[in-house]
This record gives sequence, structure tokens and C-alpha cells, in this order.
Amino acid sequence: MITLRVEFQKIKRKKIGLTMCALMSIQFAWLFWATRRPDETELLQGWLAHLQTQPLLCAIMMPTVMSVLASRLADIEHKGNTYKQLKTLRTAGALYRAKVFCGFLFILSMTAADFLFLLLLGYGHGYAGNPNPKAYLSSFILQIACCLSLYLLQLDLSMLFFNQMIPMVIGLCGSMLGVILMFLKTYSFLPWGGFLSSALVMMDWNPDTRVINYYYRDFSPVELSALAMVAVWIVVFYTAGRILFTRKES
Amino acid sequence: MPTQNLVETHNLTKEYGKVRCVNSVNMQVASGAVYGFLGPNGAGKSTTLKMILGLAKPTAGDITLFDAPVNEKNRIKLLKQTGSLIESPSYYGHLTGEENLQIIQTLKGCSEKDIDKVLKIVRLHEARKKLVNHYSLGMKQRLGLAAALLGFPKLLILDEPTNGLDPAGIQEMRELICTLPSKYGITVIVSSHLLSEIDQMADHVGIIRKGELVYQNTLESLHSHAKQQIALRVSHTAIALDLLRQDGITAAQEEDFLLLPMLEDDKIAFLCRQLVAQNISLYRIEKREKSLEDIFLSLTGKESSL
Amino acid sequence: MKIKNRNTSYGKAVQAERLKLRRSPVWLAFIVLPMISAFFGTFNYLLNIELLKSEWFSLWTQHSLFLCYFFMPALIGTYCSYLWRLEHTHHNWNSFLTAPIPLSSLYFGKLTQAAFMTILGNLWIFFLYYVCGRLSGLNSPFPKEAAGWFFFGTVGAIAICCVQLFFSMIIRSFAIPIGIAMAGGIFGLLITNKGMGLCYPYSLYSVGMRANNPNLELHASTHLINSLTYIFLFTALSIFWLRKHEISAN
Repeated sequence: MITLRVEFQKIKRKKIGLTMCALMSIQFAWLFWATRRPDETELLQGWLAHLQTQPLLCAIMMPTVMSVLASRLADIEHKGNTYKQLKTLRTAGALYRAKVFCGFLFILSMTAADFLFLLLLGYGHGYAGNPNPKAYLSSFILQIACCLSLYLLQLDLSMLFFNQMIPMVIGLCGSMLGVILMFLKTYSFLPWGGFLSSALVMMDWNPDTRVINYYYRDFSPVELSALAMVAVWIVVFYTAGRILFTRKES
Repeated sequence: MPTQNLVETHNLTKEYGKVRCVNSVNMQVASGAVYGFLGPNGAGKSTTLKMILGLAKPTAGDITLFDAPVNEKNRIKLLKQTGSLIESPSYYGHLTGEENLQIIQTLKGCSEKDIDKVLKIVRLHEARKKLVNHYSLGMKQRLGLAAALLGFPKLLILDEPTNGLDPAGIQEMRELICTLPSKYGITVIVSSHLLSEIDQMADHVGIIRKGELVYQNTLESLHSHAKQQIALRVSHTAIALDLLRQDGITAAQEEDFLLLPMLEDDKIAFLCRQLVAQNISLYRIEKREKSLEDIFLSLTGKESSL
Repeated sequence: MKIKNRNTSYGKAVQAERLKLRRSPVWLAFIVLPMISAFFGTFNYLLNIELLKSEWFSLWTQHSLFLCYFFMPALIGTYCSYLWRLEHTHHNWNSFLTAPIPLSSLYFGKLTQAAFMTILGNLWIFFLYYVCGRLSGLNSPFPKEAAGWFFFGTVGAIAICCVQLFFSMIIRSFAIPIGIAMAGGIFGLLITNKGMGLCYPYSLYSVGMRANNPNLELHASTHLINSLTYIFLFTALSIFWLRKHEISAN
């Protein structure tokens, strides 16, 4: 706990929270713009539609948001050259845990803000009925998990390389892959494909009638295993990061 | 000793917000001098040096470098004749020492041969192909000095150049700095918070305390302040002071004591007789020695640690 | 890139920037990212060849969509951040600002490097487009419109360079300007959809490239004037900031 508190002290005046808020507001602006002036069918399916667009938005934005967050948290140590000093004060494992947890708290609050905004938007527009609590809660947890897997990956890369260009570019390339794959398939085993694998709601577009139909997704075994991959990535990146961080000399 | 001043500041003042870091400093650095700029940490040394280099803008006052005012118009001309190492060495860690110097050499537009020369001077020619990230702190510091020396400028400004060096390195740096004026005609301003260090390198010294230049003269003259003194304690201090003045001896009163310059034995004997003749009891006669350290402390204030 | 006249201060600054970039394979990012886009874009094109009937133009929509909207702005942002990170780390501001070179030349040294990389990246995008087209069996002549896409895309990209160089210079963090670039790109999607793309720096690239819309009639003079305005404005801002900038005590 002390290590975590220190972690937050270190990022004082670094305006990470502010940065994250700014990036979130872009997402909100998009959502707001995408749902403005809903017609009757959109009002009817609004709650469902949210669960389809949200993972899509996340897939585009979150990889970069997570690399920014991770790079910010790791770069403090690079710039100050403080790894050595810190490791004399705390065990490396505790230090890594604190960095992970610190990021997790950011992810938690951002996701909470996300879903709060979705609810506000839905009730504001007056969507039919109420959101399905089970689906919304699952989506909420899944979004956190997907963000966490990407955050862990980026944190590992950001601490591994002094040159922050490398993790940022990997993050960019990865998110590009994720977004493109999204248009080819409904799942992918890549870390950046998590959002897409975790979408609970799918969309059907009839080109003749131009009617969009949203429905709960029936996960096939392959899709389920793609979803399970998110958990695997979390474990892999966490373990790898811990080992890396413990062995890091300078 | 050349009398022309290479650097002059007039009432140089710098405020950050409401804090006055540098307060009406009139610095004068003679051409060909090694000017030791001495003061405790946070006294305003770096800020003053940064203003000379144009890295910080004065709140008030002005600076003359090589007889030209430091301003936007003269910036390039003045920087061409100046080398500097401020606070910590600047370097690109993913490049070798030699490559780092090539960048500075390109920007300064000096001869490529200079790179070889300065590498030899700071004794880094063997590590020239090594990445600077793998340099020790002392090597980085020496690389910084090499970069400052490139083009052999007229003026070299070194801010705490011995930071991070080991004792041998410090000694080497001092010897190097001492030879710069005679060997290359470079005037050096070197800052430090250590009196002993300045004592070994500089021939002129400026002492700054809380932003104010409290002392500026040759090092010799600072040493002369370190002379021995005679301290007297008597029963009637005021009368004794009067008496001494009649004899043409300047004395200062410090607590219960009267402080006299060092006097010959005969003279002291004569004084004693006079005091006793006036019915003044003589309690103590002491010989006092004021060290350079004491002078420095009395100038900078004891509360500010070295 | 050979600079013939190394004696001008601009030549010196460009040369120094080139020296600083030795040993850092940051250009790789400009190679890899367009490759991902080209590979999957072509793949998707071949999958949907029945629907995408406009040959070269259809292929271009697949190649350019995500790359131009989100990823190139972010990549340019990353590169600009890297260029300034060189000075933000290891006390290099001191030596950067005491170089006997006009501050404007120092800035143009950075801009030249960023613009050079952007132009190369853009050339590579079009090269990949050509090769992928031929490999996909497109035998019709390469569209001559592509020259215009390249030209206006590049001008727009240089405008982004100027904006990002400014942010990366004044913000010490590596990651935050990249967040700005990404947010800028995404926000640009909304703005372009509103038909205001030519007024917004991050859209100038995608609009100039006719991303996803090769039939768009570009208002060429507006695009050019607006791009040059942004280039001029942010260059002036950067140089002004450099003049005012002070290295604070410690």
C-alpha cells in the first residue's frame, strides 16, 4: 500500500489524470455525435447498440490511451534514472505491483466514467426500457480486462525500452491490426483484438432495407477461446513484466 | 594581469515569481582570468551563469560580453566565442562520445580536427567509440567539458564541473582548468560551492550569497583577509579604543575583544605599558588566525552549509 | 539526404539533426505501419472483390481508410515527440540553446527532419499501393489522380508535423503529444463528416489523401491555403516560444 501511495505521489503534477480525462472526452464527443437525434428504431435498440459501439470505440482508442498511460508511468523512472534508487527501497516485485495497480485504478475510473456516460446518454435520449444489468455489468468487466491486458503489455514495453518511441510504435501498429481485423472477423487472438472478441452485441445491416438490427452474440467455441485469450494475455504480460522488472539492472 | 573585462554585469537581477534569485550583481571577469564563482547551493550561481549565456532572461540589469551587450541581436556572435557546461552535462545517450562531439562541432562550425584535440585533452580518446549511455558520470562530465572546449572559445563557463568526479578526476579537472588561460588563451568562469576547490583553481573570486555578490576580488586579496590578528580584552574597552586610535592603530570591537592587526613585539609591549599607565587592566592578549574558511563562512553566513 | 551547403546555419542544423538520429531505427515505424495497412487492405479488397468494383479506387479505399484517419497522424506525432525527446532528456536543452545558430534554424532543422520522414512515409504508402494493386491483378493503368492525392496528402501531413512539433516541444512528456495526435485524428473524423475537414489541421492529411473517398472533389486552393496557414502559424508559435523559453533553475 505504501508503494502504491508513493506511486501516486510520483505522478503528482504530471497531469496524467487530466490527460486521461481529455482523451476520454474525445470518446464521449464521438459517442454523443454518433447517437445524436436518434430515430424511432434507434430509440428502441439504443441500449443494445451501446454495447456494440462501445467495444468498437475502445478498439480504436484504448490501445493508444493505454500506451500513453503506461509510457507516462514508466517514463518517470527513465527520466529520473530512479530504478536503482527505488529498488534499494522496495523489492522489485512490490514496485511492479504498485505500477500495475496504479494503472488499474486509472482504468477502473475511466471505464466507470465510460459506462456512466453511456447510462446518461441512454436516459437522456430516452431509450426504450432499461439497460440489461447483466449485459452491462459483463461488458463493464470485459472492458476493464481488455484495457488491463493492453496496459500490462505497454507497461512492460515502456519499462524495457528507454526509447519510448518503440513501445508507442508497437502500440500503434497493434491497434491498427486490431482495428483492421475487426473488419475482417468477429474475433482475434491478438492482444489488440480483445475488445472485438468481447463485444456482447453484434450488428446486422440489411443493405436492401437499410435496417440495422442489433442482437446478443452467440459465442462459438472459437470466439469463446478468443475471449479467454484476454485472461491469458493478462497473466502472460503480468508474469513477463514481473520477471523483466526483477531482472532489470539499470 | 590584463585589466580589460571580458564579462561585466551591471545590477543583474533575476526574479522567479516573487523570489529574487539574483540581486543586483555586478560581476567583473578580467580577460585571461580563471574566475571562481563561489557560493552555497541555491545562492544563484547557475542562474547568473545562465543569464550570461542567454538561457535565462534578466529581470533587470544588463550583461556585457566581449564589449557587446548580451541581447537577441548579438546572441549568435557571442555564443560563437563561448563554451559552456551548465549544471549537468548534455549528451545523446544512444550515440558515441565522438558522435556527440560531431553534433556540437557541426553546430559550432569549427574544424573536425578539434574533436581529436579535445578528446585527448579530456582523456576520452580511448572511449570515443563507446555509447555515452555506458559512460560513467565522470566520463560524461569530461565529455561535457570536451564539448565546451570545441572550437577553443574565448570564454568558457563551467558550472560545478567537478560534480560527480572521483578525487583523481577532480584533481585532473583542476589542473586542466588552471592551464586553459595560458595554453589556449581561454578565460574561464568556474562555479563551485567548495572554497578549497576555487582556492586551487582560480585567480579571481566572486562570492555570492542569497543572490548577492558579497565579495569580488583577486584570490590573493581574499587571502590577505586571512591574516593573523591580535585580540585584546581589557577592563575599559572604550577608553582603550580611544587610546589605540591616538596611536594610529585601527582596531575593531568584537564582543568583549578588541581586534588589532598583527603588530611587532615592540609595538605590543609599548601598547601594554600605555594601557597599564592609564589604569586599564589587561586580561588577555591573544593571537588569532582567521582562516579562508572562516572568511568564506562570514561572507556567506554560517547557516548556509557548504 | 545530402545537404550541400553545410555552412549556412540551416544546413548545420539539419546536419546536426541527422547526426542525432543515427543508431535509432525510428524510421522503421514509417515502413511497418503502412505495410500492415496495405497487407490487410489488399486482403479485404480481394475478399470483397464482388462488392468493390472500382478497381484501383476500391483498393485505395481499403488501403487508406484507417491509416490516414488515425494512424498516420499518431505516427507523425510519435516521430515529432521523438525528435524533441532528444532535447528533453539528459539536459540537452542547455546545449541546444547555446549552439551558435539562430533559433529559427534550430526549429527548421527539426521540421525538415519531420517533413522528410513524412514525405518518405507517404511515398512508401503509394509504392505499396502500386505493388499491391499489380499483385492483386489490376491491369488497368495506375490512376493518375494518385499524384494529386500524394501532393495534397503530403502538404496536409506537413501541417500536422508543425502542430505536433509545437506540442512536443512545449510538453516534456513523450506520450501526451501522441495522445493529442490520436485524439486530433479521431476528432478529425467527426469534423470531416461535418464537411469542415479543410479547416482542421488533423483532417488536412486524410482529406488531401482522399482517404476512403477517391472521388472527392478537393477544393485545392482552400486545402493549400489552409495547410500553409497552419504551417506558418505553428512555425511562428514555435519560434516565438523558443525565443521566450528559459531554462529554469534545476
